[in-house]
Amino acid sequence: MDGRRRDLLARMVAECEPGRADWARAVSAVCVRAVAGVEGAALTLRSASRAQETLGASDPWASGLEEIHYTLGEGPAVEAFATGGPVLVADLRVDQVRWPVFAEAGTAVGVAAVFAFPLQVGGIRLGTLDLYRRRPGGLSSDAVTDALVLADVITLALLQHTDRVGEDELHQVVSYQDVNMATGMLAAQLRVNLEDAFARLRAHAFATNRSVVEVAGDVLARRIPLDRLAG
Amino acid sequence: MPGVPDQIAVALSEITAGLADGRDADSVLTMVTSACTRLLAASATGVLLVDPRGGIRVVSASDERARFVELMQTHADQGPCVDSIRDDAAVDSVDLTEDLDRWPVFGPAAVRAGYRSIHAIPMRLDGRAVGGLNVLYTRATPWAAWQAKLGRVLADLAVLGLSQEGDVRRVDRLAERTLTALNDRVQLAHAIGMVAGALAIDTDQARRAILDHARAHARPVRDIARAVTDGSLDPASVFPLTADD
Repeated sequence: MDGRRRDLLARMVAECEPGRADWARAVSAVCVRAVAGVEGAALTLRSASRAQETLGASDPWASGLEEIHYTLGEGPAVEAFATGGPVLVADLRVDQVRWPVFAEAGTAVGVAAVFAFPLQVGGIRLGTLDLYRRRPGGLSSDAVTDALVLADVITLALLQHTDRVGEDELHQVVSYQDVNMATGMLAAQLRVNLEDAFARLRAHAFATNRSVVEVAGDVLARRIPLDRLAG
Repeated sequence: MPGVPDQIAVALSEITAGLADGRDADSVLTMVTSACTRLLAASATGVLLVDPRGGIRVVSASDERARFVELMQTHADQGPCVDSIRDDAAVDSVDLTEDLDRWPVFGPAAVRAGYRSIHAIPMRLDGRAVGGLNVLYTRATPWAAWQAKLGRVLADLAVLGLSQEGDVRRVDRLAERTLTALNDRVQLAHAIGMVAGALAIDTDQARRAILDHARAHARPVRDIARAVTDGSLDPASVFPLTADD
């Protein structure tokens, strides 16, 4: 890649006004514009305990795909975060042995290809930049380079941005705090550890074909009898 | 003393160029200690910093012998450097053998290591002494006014070197902070849920209970959240202040 391309991508990201509530959405939209062959993009923070927070997405479709990752706890983005390297899936149906459940759920909402890039600095991994497309097909090598540069530029911008505006403003946009609270509530009520509680929340969501966010809402409102989650 | 002003100009411009280039703290400190040794004709120079966890830490020394003495000083928790940081003022001992009572542990140790004179200059940041520049001599050496001033300048440069971090380290630190912030938020939410579940209250009440508990025990909220989630604090015992006392 020549320096000019890199500069251009950096400028596109820099033009998204830091401190704006929808900064991450704007950055995601930049990714869709800049990376050839991509129709949706999302920026998500992830933690080793599998918690996640979607900072922003180019559109509700991409944001829904992040939620599918979260509900299922598997998929290219989860793997990219776990391994620290990009995970490029040109055709989900071909690769479905790797993530059978994600492949099915993703196909159902019309995604055919997923490209996930870790947002990381040195040994510290913060999350992923996830790119989606509706038709099968890989990214060109130029597009992969663009995406890698964008992941890099976005990580730095994200850190500077966090530094400047404070975390709260940054993360209000999309957060799954309800899921975390529901996890804690289940853990206390069922006397299991947090990991088990989260697994049960997910299992219930999967079994009832709902998202983990919806199930969490029911748990918090005490609309689900505990014995249904007792596993 | 012909030549000294030239040497000073060269040495200082090397250091400031290093600062402007964004050289890392270690190489700036090395330049400072070697400039001290050269320009002030010192036998050894050491830079010590107050460790936020307690005590004082040697961060740079012109040679291993100086390091030895500075370490002695750290261990003894007393000495000219400790005094200069505490009082935020330069401390000089032109002849250590006459100051043995002043620092009963450090004095004899330094003399045994072959030093006779020490000048300790506090390093200031934001109006606070954060460390000290220590210049040692093997023979009794009073400082002229220009030497004291030059020592002051070098101490200031050492602080600049230390407060300047390369981009890489700064970015690492920000990344850690972002990651910690995410983990803290998740942990607090987990704790809120656990308290809500244990006490059969809603999550807003549970959040208030955790904040009140933190305030009542003068502990950070994140500590309480961690204690609840790691099992060391029973969520049922986290309760609003009114119920506590």
